[in-house]
This record gives sequence, structure tokens and C-alpha cells, in this order.
Amino acid sequence: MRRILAGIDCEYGILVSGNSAEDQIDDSQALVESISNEGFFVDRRVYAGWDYRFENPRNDLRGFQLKHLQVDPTDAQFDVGRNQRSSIEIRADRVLWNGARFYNDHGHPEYSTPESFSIFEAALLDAEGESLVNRAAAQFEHEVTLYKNNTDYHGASYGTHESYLVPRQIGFEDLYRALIPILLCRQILTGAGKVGSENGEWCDFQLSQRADFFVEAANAETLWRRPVFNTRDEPHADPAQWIRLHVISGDANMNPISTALKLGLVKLGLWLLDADEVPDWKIAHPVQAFKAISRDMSLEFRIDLGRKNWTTAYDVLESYFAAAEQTLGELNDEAKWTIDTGRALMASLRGDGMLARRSIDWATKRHLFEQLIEEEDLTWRSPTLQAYDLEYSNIDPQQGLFHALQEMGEIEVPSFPTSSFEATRAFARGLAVQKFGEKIRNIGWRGITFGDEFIELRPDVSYPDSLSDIPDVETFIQSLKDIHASI
Amino acid sequence: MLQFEQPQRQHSPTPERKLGDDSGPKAPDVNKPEGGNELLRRLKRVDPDQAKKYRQRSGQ
Repeated sequence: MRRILAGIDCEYGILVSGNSAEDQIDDSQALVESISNEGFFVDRRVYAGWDYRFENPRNDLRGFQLKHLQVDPTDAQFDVGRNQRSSIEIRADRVLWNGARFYNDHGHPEYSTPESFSIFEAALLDAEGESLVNRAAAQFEHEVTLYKNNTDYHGASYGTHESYLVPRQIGFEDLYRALIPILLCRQILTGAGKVGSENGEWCDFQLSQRADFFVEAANAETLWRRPVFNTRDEPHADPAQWIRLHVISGDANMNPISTALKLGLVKLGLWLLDADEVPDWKIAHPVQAFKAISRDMSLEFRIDLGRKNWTTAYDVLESYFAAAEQTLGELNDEAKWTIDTGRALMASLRGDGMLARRSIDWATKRHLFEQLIEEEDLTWRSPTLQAYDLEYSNIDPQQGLFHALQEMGEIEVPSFPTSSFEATRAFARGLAVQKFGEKIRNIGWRGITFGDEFIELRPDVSYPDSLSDIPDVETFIQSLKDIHASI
Repeated sequence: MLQFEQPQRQHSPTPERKLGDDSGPKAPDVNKPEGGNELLRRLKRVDPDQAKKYRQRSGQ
């Protein structure tokens, strides 16, 4: 089982006291810039900043390029009469001491975790991102509330994306076949939950924050007409060797168990694809299936397979678990934990629900809200309930409802296997920023430019701790070259 | 009462409510060892119209 490099990009909802969506781009930029004086960041005003040369979101995995990406027409209304500034200035990119990226993406402060080979470390890094964003809020000149969610309940969504390093020789068709069933079904174990709906018929509560926003099974869009399977081909590595599988259909999770599990389930699909042992599910209508699962409060989670055949999300997930156990040989810690946790949570959903409501955000919310409906004489359509839903994702540990439940011992403590985590190229990026920041011309996921020399950071190898002992930039650059040349 | 440690009932009987009692959430029986109910305190602070007023630009 190969190591799979992965990372999580989380766009946060931002609410500055007295301001509105019209001010959001300025607010988000100012928030990101509020921590620029800590000395850990590459500052675009001093250095060239983030390296956009290798980024083109219009490239499609299916071998073509979109002429342009669609945008939400409502957003254009917010910009009427406003000064147009450069996108570089607006984005305000920062690279942090740990190799993470923090910037303003479409008016949302976005924390992109350092890449990791471990789903457990990725979950911890995602939580560390919350702390970083809270620090930014503490240093911000205005009163601000930040939400780790994916909707404003009025039809605007913002994403929490996952990235997985995949060899280029694996084509779109195989990836789609292996992962569509997982992407549809993992929401029963990892959905963040949402009160109400923003598209189609009203529903009281649903598992996924994002389901209302999917309109196609696969495309390269991310801002409008979003797909279940995103085909953006922007590898963030040597494009001759690598694809970055860009997953946009997951939710922002407050519970780190869900964060690790949503990554583990995708990795399970990728490992089975490597072994050519992917369970053969032909799902008739993926978009409808995603939405139907999200809205199924009976927890039966039926999936239409066409020609009057059907299955359930439970059976689909179990088929992946069984295939992994039967065909992948000795499973690594990530696969074992994913299967064990997945099975335990499915059993809980079909049983008393206790473990599920301590471990899955949507189940925690549903249980809480059902009791509040009873206690407060609310209905599912009460605005108060959506306000509670929003406050569940408030990342301020002193304000958020998830954090209150966690503090009260009502949230399961993750039982991640204890192991040391291998350093990735993010370690080298972070070291470069900390130790040789003044030598950096620009920096990105793929590599670092020192002066006029671009140094590629290999994404598939682990980086030695000894890099941190190197005192001079010349030796540091040579060491990175040696790592790149290694097999 | 907000319950977290007992299996959820599928069909709860209608709770008997006293007329004229305090409206708003009751104290869940999940208390921190040092006392107090943090969830209840926070629920009472939530602006009931917060989500109604919440507007964001679309992100990715």
C-alpha cells in the first residue's frame, strides 16, 4: 500500500461586526494580513510571494481546458461600484512556519494544511488551522466571528477541499469508477449536517452541507454548477508524473474523527484502485443519489442502481471494507482504523446511535436539535434552529457549540494510532520560510525559487530531520536537489 | 432535559409543560465536574436571527 500524500483546504465563513457580504473580500484580506507581523510568513510586500506559475484551475483531467470558470452571479452584485484591485493583493498569501498556506480565497480566509502522508496527522493539522485562524481573529482590529462550515443558508456555499497525490497513469475513468461510490456514501459517516435546504424541496435536516449545491456528476467547476467529482487538473507537482485528486464534495468537520475518516475512505478507494480490486458499483444517478442520501432521515440510505435495483450506503461502504481486507494483504494503520471506525459507526447508526452522535457532526447536531425542538417548542423551520446550527461551527473555543459539547465530554476523543509522522515536502517549505526567508523569491506547493533558481520539492518522499540542522542556504538547496534526485 | 448518555427514543411522549414557566432551553443533565452547563450558557447567548442575517460570498 503506497503512501498517499494528502491535505485539506478549509475556507472559513467570516462575519465582521457591522459588515456584510459586500465587504467580505476586504474583511477576509484584512484578517489574513492581521498576522503578517509574526515573522513566520513570506510577505508579498517584501518578496514576490506565492508562485502561481504552475496553477491553472481550467485544466480538466479529461484532457481539455475550459475557456473560463463559471461564477455565482449573485456575487457579481456585491462588486458593483467597488474598486478592482489585483488578485495578488487581494489574496494576501502567507506561507506559515509549518509549510501551510493561509490566504484570502474568494472572500474567505482559507487555511491549507501542510501536506501529510497520514490521515491522523492531517486531522490534527486541520484542527491546528482552527487555532491559527483564531489567532488571526484575536489580532484583527474588528470584532469577527469565524465559522468552519460550508453554507450561509441562503444559497452561497464555500468549500472544504481535500487533495490527494495520485500517479498520472491512473486516468479519470478509473478514478471516477473507484471513488464516486465512496464520495456518495461517506457523508453518512462524515457529513457535517445542516438544518434546512437551499435547493429543491424543503427538508428539515440533512447530512451534508454541500449536497444542495451539486448539479453534475463530474466537471472542473468549483464556484458554480459544482460537481460531485471535480475534474480540475492542477497537480501541484510535476504534471508528467502526478495528478492531484481534488475532492470538493466533503464538508468542513468540527469533529477530527470525521476529518480523518473522510480522508481514510478516499484513500481506501485509491488503494483498491491500485490493486485493481474496486467493488463494481454502477450508480445510476450520482447527483440524485448524493442528495437522496443526504436527506434520508430514516437512515436507510437507499441508492438507485437502475432497472429497479438498489443498494444502501452501508452495503457500498462495507463492500470497500471487505475488499480491502480480502485483497490488500496486511493493512496499514490508516486502512485498519478507517475500516474499524467505519464499521463501528455504521453499527451505531443502525443501533442505539450513541457512538454516532459522539463521533459524527451531523448525528451530534440532529440529536441536540431534536431535543431543543422539544424543550424550546421550536420546529425544524424555526430560524433559531439554523442559528444554533451555525453556532455549532463557530471556531471560537469560548463561543462555539461544538466546543461546548467537547468541553462537557459529549464528543468522542479520537483514538488515532500513536505513531510518528513522516515529514513531507511541507517540512522543507516551512524550514525554508523560517530559516532562509530573505533568500526566497517565491514559493508554492510544487517548489521554492531561491534567487533565480527553482527547486522542485518532490511530493512522494519523506524529508529527513537533518534538514533543520543545515545552517546555510546553499547546503539547504543542494540537499533538496539530492532528495529530488533520489529514487 | 437534553440527554446525551441515554439511547434516543424514536417517539418521545409530549412533554408536560408548566404554563408560565421560563422559556428557553433547560439545563441538560450533562454537567462539567466543576459544575455549570456550558452548552446551556452558550445556547442562551445565540442570536435567534443569526443565520437569517448571515450572508456570504460563494467560495469554492
